[in-house]
Amino acid sequence: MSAPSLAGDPVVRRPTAPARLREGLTGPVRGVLKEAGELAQFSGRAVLELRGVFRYSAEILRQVGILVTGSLVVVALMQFVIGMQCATEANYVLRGYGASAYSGVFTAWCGIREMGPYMWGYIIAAKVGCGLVAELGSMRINNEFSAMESLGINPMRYVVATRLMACIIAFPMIYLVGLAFHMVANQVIIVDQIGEVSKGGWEGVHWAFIRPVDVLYSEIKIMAMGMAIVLVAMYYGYTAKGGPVGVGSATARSMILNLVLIHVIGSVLTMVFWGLNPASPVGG
Amino acid sequence: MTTSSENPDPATRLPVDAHGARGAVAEDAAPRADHREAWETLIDVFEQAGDEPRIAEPIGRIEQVVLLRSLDLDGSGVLLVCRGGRLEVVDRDGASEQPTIELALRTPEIEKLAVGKLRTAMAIADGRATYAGPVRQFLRVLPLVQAMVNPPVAMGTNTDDELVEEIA
Amino acid sequence: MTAADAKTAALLDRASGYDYHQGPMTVPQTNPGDFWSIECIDLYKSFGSNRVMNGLNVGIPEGMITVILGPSGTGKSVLLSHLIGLMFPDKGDILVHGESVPRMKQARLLEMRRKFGILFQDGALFGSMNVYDNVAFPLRQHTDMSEEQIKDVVMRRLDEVGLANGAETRSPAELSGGMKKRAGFARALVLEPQIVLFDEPDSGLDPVRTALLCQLIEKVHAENGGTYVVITHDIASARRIGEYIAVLWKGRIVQSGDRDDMFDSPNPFVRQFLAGNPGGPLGME
Repeated sequence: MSAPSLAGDPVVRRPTAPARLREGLTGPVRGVLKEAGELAQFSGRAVLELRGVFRYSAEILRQVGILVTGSLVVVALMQFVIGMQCATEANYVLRGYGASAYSGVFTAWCGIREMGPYMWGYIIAAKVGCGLVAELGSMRINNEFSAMESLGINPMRYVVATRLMACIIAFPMIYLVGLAFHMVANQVIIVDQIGEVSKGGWEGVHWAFIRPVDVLYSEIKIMAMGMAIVLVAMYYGYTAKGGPVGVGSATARSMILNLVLIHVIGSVLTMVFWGLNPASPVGG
Repeated sequence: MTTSSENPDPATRLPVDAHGARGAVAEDAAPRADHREAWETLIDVFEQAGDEPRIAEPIGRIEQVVLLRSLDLDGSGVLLVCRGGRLEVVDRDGASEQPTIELALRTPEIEKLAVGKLRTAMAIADGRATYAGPVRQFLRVLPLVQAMVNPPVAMGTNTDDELVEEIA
Repeated sequence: MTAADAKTAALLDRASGYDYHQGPMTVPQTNPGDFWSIECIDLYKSFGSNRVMNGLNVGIPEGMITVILGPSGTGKSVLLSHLIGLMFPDKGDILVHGESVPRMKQARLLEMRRKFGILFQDGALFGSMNVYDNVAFPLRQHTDMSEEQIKDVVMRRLDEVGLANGAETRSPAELSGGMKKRAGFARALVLEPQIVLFDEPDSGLDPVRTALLCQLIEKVHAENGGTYVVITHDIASARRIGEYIAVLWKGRIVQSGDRDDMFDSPNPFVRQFLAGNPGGPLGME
């Protein structure tokens, strides 16, 4: 007796060459658009789940603790490094124009407006973003989300929204600490190491070119980058499949997208905040 | 409810009773004393279950009153009052409680239940038992009573399961 | 015969593949099928061109240990996901205690899932918590119990599965496969579920530990009652603990029924599978 076949099985036919060419050209575009749509849908669901997230305040606090203990030191350190570079460039470039006294202009704008947020984005994407992809991806392939759902817990709220809320709470504070280290590095290089500008001279110029609202804009910029990084990372982790290899490739895809998004968000918000009005107290 | 062997449905080989329900009939009609003995044994089992807190407590949580009847005996059956974490066996006659679940069994099924070997849901599916009401809630806790009289083999002990012999 | 009776009889006949039950069943009550804990009615599910469920019909009887047997890759885990609403069928219906799962709203679905306890393959323990916290997790999320009360319940469940000897402070990464499954079992039981599902509990275990796990399942069922559904391809486990067996093949239930009747079944597919015989209609596909 032969095994019965399934009724209604589709007959498989080889696609024609024009069909394959069409699929080859449109397939990737369709794939990108589909992924973008799914990412947007995931992000929307994650934001909506913030409504009830304080039910899990213990988990939120735990995630804040993980962020602070895991990221604060490396963010501070790398902001210090980039602060040293900003200060070095500031002094040596302006020396060529005989204007090294105005190194404070360069350091003010470099730190607050551009390199501070970009370095923040790189570190958060590498440390927090990749960590989230790996963590959520492992949870996915180990069926932890299924187990959670089977226990009547909504994993979008318990896992995704709690981490998102933890980032909203922790990121502004971590960035401010990092920014402080950035400016300490500026002073160390310009005043202490190179020594062409006095402390007062540098500080006077530096703070003249920073308004309080610039700090707020900087915070908005890093929050926009941070939220994008975290949502992208959690999307790739949450939807990972294919075992450990799948989690690895999801991590790589997430990093690429995050690097692009960091620069897109950075340039857009620079134009929005400082494009029309650079807020430069020069020439009256 | 009585059964009748008149007009058996040849397709099913199960007789139709006066109420249109089908039930299995023993090939040789057992004497009435055997029906009574099996019934009394089953009642004893439920009374014993009611005296064991670890069994009575989960059964008592279903908050139902079960009317248990023998299809081979005339009589109104007994009420199993499963309330407040307790199981009480009460004679139906004169009881003030109204049953919310009814389960009616023939003597072979009563005997199997009394020794903890009745697959009650299958008995219902095969027409060997009838029910009324949310019987699911009672079926859920019946394994506790059955395990009391027919406990599973303790973990890690040798069994006389024929499978063990095949492996050895 | 009423329409409801005809529907139930048709369910049984379709599930058997041939006239296994001796004629239609009569349930002259207002809620026929009240003895089925779960009913799957004409389920169809495809992933792309791969049809995983192809008109699947099965009833899981209340208060019994049901084993769903089938060769690897026949959609057993997909079926389990459908029972708790982790996936939804393309066509057909799933009734849990008479309620349709695909039609439930999200809030009702989350509530319905609390009737279930599930032991996934490898336990699916939460890696960020130790064993104690894993088992306590459902109690902390769904009850107002104090930590003292939670400790009582958790330690009782861990003792039931043989893990109350210091294993509760270990993280899942430090546990063996068998210990992970037992911890997962304890977590599945902690909310006193009415239905417990086991997804290939024997996977990764040697025959002795499989047998011990089967004994544990029987023991816990005897102490707690409820409906247990074990999904596996291990015939020895099915013979040991199954009271009701359904054989799944190519997205359909070929036959289902009482264990003893199934092992004596004249159905050639069922005979070949249950005997583990290479000769017969089941091939390598």
